[in-house]
Amino acid sequence: MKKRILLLSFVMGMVLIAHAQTRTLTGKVTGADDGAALPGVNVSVKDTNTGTITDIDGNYKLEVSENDVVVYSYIGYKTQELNTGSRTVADIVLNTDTEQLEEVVVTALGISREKRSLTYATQEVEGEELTRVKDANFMNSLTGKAAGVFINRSGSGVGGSTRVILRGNSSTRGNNVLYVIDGVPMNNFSPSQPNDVWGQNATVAGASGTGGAGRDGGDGIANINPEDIESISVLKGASAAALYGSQAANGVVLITTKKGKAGKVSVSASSNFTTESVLLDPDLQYRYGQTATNSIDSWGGSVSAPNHVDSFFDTGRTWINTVSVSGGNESAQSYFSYANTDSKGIMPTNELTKHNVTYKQSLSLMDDKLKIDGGVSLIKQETQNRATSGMYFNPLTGLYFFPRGLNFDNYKNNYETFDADRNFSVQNWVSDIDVQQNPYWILNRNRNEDSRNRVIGNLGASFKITDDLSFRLRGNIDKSVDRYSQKVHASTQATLSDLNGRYVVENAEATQMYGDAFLTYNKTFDQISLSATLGSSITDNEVQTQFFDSKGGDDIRVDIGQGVEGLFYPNTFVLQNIAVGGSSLFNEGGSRSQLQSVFGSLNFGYNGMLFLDVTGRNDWSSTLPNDSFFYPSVGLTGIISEMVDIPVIDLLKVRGSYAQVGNGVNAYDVGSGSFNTIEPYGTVVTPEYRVEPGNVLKPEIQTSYEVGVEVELLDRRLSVDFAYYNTNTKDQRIPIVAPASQGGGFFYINGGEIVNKGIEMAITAVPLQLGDFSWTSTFNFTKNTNVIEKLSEDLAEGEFQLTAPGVNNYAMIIKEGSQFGDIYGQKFARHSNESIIVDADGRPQPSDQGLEYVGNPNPDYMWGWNNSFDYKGLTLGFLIDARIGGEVMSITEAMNDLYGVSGASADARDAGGVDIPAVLADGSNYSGLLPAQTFYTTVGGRAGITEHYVYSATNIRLRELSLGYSLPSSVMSKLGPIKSAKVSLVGRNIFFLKNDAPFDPDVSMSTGTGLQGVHVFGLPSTRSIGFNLSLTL
Amino acid sequence: MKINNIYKSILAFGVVTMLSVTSCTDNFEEINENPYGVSNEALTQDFNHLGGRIVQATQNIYSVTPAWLTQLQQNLIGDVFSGYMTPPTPFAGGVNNMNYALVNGWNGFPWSTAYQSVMFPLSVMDETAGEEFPQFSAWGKIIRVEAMHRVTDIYGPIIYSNFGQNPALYDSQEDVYKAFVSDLDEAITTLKNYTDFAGFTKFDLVYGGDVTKWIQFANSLKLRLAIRISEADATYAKTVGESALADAAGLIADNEGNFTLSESVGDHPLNTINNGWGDIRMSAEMESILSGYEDPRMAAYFEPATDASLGIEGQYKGIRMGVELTSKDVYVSHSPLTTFGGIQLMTSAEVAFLKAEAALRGWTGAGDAQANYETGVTLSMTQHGASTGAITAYLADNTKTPAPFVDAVNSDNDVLAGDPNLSTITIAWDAAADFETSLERIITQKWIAMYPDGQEAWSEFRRTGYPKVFPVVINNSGGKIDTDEQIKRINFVDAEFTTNPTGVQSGIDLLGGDDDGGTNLWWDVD
Repeated sequence: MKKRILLLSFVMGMVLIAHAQTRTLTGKVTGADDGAALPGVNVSVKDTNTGTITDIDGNYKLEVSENDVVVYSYIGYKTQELNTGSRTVADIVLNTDTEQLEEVVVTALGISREKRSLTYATQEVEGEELTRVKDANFMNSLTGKAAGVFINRSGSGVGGSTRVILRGNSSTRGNNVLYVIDGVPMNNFSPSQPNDVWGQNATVAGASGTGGAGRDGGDGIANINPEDIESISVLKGASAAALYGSQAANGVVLITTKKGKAGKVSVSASSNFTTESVLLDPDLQYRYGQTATNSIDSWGGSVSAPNHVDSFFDTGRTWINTVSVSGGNESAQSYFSYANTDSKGIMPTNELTKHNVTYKQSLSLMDDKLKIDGGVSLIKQETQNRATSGMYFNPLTGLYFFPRGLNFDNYKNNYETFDADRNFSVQNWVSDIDVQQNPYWILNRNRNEDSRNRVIGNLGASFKITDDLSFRLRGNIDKSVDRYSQKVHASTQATLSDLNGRYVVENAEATQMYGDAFLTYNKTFDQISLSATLGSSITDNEVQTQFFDSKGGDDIRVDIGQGVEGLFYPNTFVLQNIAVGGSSLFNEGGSRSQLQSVFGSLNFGYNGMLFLDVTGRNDWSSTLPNDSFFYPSVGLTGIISEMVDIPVIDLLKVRGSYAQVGNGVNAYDVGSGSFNTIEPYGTVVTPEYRVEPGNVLKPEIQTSYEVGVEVELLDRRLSVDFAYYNTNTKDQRIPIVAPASQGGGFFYINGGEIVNKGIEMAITAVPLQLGDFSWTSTFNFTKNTNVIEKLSEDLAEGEFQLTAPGVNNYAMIIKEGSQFGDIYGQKFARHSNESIIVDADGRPQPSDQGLEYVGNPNPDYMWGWNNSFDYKGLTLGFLIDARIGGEVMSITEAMNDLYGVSGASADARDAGGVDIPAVLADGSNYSGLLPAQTFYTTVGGRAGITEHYVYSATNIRLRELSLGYSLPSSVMSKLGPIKSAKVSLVGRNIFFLKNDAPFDPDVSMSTGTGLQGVHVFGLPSTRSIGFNLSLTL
Repeated sequence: MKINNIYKSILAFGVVTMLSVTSCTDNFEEINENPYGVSNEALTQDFNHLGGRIVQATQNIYSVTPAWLTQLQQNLIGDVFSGYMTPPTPFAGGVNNMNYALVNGWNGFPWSTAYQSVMFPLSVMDETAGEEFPQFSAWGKIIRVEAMHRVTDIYGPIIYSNFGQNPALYDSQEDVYKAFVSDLDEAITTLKNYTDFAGFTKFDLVYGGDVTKWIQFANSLKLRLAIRISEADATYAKTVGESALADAAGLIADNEGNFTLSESVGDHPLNTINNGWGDIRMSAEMESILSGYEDPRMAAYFEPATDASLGIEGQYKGIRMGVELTSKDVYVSHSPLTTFGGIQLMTSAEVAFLKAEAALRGWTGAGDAQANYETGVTLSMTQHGASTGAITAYLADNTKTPAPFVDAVNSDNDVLAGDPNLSTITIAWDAAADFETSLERIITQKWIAMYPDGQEAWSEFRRTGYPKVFPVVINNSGGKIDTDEQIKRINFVDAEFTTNPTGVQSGIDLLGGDDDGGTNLWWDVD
């Protein structure tokens, strides 16, 4: 560095001395960011046609006259002008154009706009923010970093899907956001989600069946390589997303990916290694033994059993290695990246490998009038033994329930024993009930594997017809093929497997084709700026699934000498080994829908202080073939600070907007009345779900408005963005119980109205800036209130079950006047003085009111506080986030209590009983403590008094911590080709500052709509600690 | 100029693209047609639009699958209240049907299954069968009556003649029974013209397409209905019963004619509930009666208990209904059921016992009460593999009586010798016995023979009070159900109060009592 400064001073000195008339100006152009030479920089004499470009070493040579002004321009850098005076040598250092990145945001359809002109709230997150502390599903890295964004991870470990909700739940069907990558809506296909407390699968896109282990099949967004991401903008409200019409009801996350840059070739590589360990252990006991010989529970006498649970979990480790190359010249730019993810989970045998390859090419032709962009991404992902939630096929149930005092190692080392009658090894375990098996048997002999191969290809062209008018055309195809198999060996518990085992295969192919074309017009007349867009798009979505299960359901078929059920030959897992014709389930399913749209937008600006946006979109959806729907939006922004001069304040902006978007019905809903399903054994079944005869289905309509204020002051060191929103989603498509006299089953109707309102606030500040030291801090705050404003009176009990209770005492139910996601459970029978009622033996009595409201998992409010301290090359960052309020339920605890293996059950035994005020049915006091075993075997279990298992969901945690060091240039210059290098220590989910629940409340059993806020033997949440090394060549 | 042309062509292309997008929604209907099933139109091939509905309805008289549905449709209702079986599982925190805390969430399934999977497909079939295929409509009528009499026998007034209406008013049980009889008469008359018709074969899960056997079943069913209402409307019952007995086509006479769903439609759900889930076990009454009689059918019906710690290993040990269950472990090692083949809904033995009772009541054509009684026992014994010698000895036995019941866990549940709930009825026919004793003898043997169809056995218990089913030990009905009178019915289902409030109110009006488990049905005359 010193050398260069010296050189520069010398050169400048030379320039000052020199004096000439017409001469040759020479020099070298370098970038300020890394000091590297910049080839291909435009160097021209201002207001003339004289110009040149720099060579590969950044050198240039240009004929200039005295007092000429030379302009240096280069993509991604600030244009610089130089008064040549009389110099003959001018070395130029170009600064990167950060200004532009801050001011311009990407909005709907990939249109870049000045942020200050927007009439709605949007929040940008830079790619670097997402890659600093990496997660295998990068959407998790967004947690706590943007207001109004609710993120829940699935409990399936590495590679699991993510539930991302913007501004609250608004639909009874799906609430996940729409992801848009470079302007194209992405198909966030998840082949499977758990559907019930047992942990069995959701209906797989039209296919029925239980599908073996309840699994999270991952989602589409988790496939994306975070290193490819330039930035993310979160379009929270309908106004922002209105141009996406019926796809936009849940908000949009816009992802802009990196592209090749003209000029120098840049190579970046990063290597990220993290280890994962259990963050929150289940509270279990090891001091009371098995109840009696052969018992499956632990209500016996004192023992000193080893903790076999902690040693069960491995230390997980994840490597994410990436490399990207970008470069090109003014007319052609390329970008290539490769990422490799290799992960072993904390659950033994769980592994994930993923490869991402991306190639992108841009061409500028005809004097930059025609631009062509193309790209292709390939994703290959394989997972072994993805962790499951729920009670079936879950190693954690048997692990936790294992009767204390028996030798666990005996079952660990001998999970199978030779069976002389069958001439093969069979499972060795302490019990034969459906909810538990030998954990090692499950891991080794109930193995599941899944894989995804996905290709995303796109091609686009834009043409500048005139300086003001351009035309753009884009096409995209996104195809993923998922394969899943589970090989269940013979002697697996009979609810889960037939005599010879069970084989489950599921293939899913999801294809989305998208095309759009639009014209944009931009013109500025004196004080008025006008921007208009007119376009049209088509989206075609198709999902096809094939499902083969040798055991279609949890009925247990017994060998009755009537031929083989399930598999012909034991432990042979090929389709031809399935005894077809029994109740084996072969099912083909899927759905196809097409959406066609015409849209337009008009943006007027007046003198840089007033902006008006109007958009309109009309959708035609194949799911409602006889209708079309119009979705309007309007917004107004005033920049007060431009109108009047306010001291101290750099920017004061007020905005307001109104929009209407929709959400179509599902494919085939409308024609469901004449559709018969074919069940196992070939039975045709009359339609169970159908539109009521004479009724017409409409799409859901979401009407929303928002107002906001943005303030920047103290030389922009402090900025505040505040928004208030109100969205009302009407005409929910819900199934209601059809009258028995009309054939029962369900009718689809439009019958619900959900209101979400709330506030969002984001504060960005630079509280300290002293010399090289700076502290940057952002704080965001979100409060959302949800009300089920109306619900069809035709619903049974006026309620809609998002998760039906079945035979368990957990349900997720909405009712008029209630909040979305309310958890229902069994309560205690209580006396008027609030004491619980027990019988003479001290056994608590359940309330006779059936399942009642016990809590709601949605937080009252959330905040996130993200900090960065920079000193020279050193950066310390941490993120604390909080979700305050809400309740969750743990069926895990309830089951552990029932089995007498929970810490609580042992504590109660130590204390001589459970200390809860209790009375007998006649109101007289129950004397003494409640007997622990009686209490917990009554209250515990999946169908006990689940009210006892409701916990506050409030949690505050150190979400991210990172300490990074960028090697200074003085070191870099000795490292040859390496231009920059940064090493970081990183950690995620470090510890809880507060959490009262026995599990991580942010982890969700399903990322679908149901099963929120309930923990059913989900994988314990993990803490990741590791390091990250990134290099630029 | 060249550039201009490119402008124009790109503009034109853009405009064309936009316009074409908006004008090609014509194929939306086609895209939105679900290809993963079978349309009504495609079903007409090979008459599946008729036969397919018959199959669906037949499979849901008693649901073949899934087993949890059958568990709620019948196993935790009639199978328990009849004294056949008792679950060891303390479902719903131990407060449930078994101790008369009726669980509405469960008890809607007999209703919803019947309407959704029997009445609905059969009405869809009737619409398409029309005048053209009266034999299918006739067949459907028999299946409908077999299914729906089980439903009215649970709830009382039901939707029958007003099916398809909205709101749908209920019919009184008396009207429903009369409608059943007239439906069966119409079906018998029609089917007599089609005794050579071979078109049933593919869809017949019971008699392999033998139309005559369906007529015999219809006559047998008619006799069952007539006997059921013999106390409520004696004159009408006699007329109906006698017409069934007199019909030239006859009744089910041998075990070949038993109404048993072919095993090809799926494994018996009780196998799952019993073997797989361990959710059902032998009842105290079965233990008492079969062991007291040293009945050869014991081993055909139940497996010995396995619990060495309770000292009952190798014994046949049942569980009493409505006892305290602290945990499933306590009683699960009591006697499991044996494995079942096809789903049996009527046997020749039952028909013989119906005839025995008809004879007792003096109905023309019923034959001799003793002969019918002994035929019934013999048919049932033969069906379950008893030897001729054993049958003869059994029929001659006039000393053995049901044995006292001793609970292996809790003596509060014992039913000891001399307890009024312990019957003293013997096996051998006694021509000198009074009507009531003979009736108890017939019904007790019919009860053994009809196992495991608890729905029918529960109805007969309510009608006659036989065999003596032990009352619940714990009664959580809050005074709605009398412990000694025992449960009389199930209250109307929740969904009706929201989807058909006018209808269910009409049902309550017709019930003639409170809508709870303590109100007698029309045919249940005390």
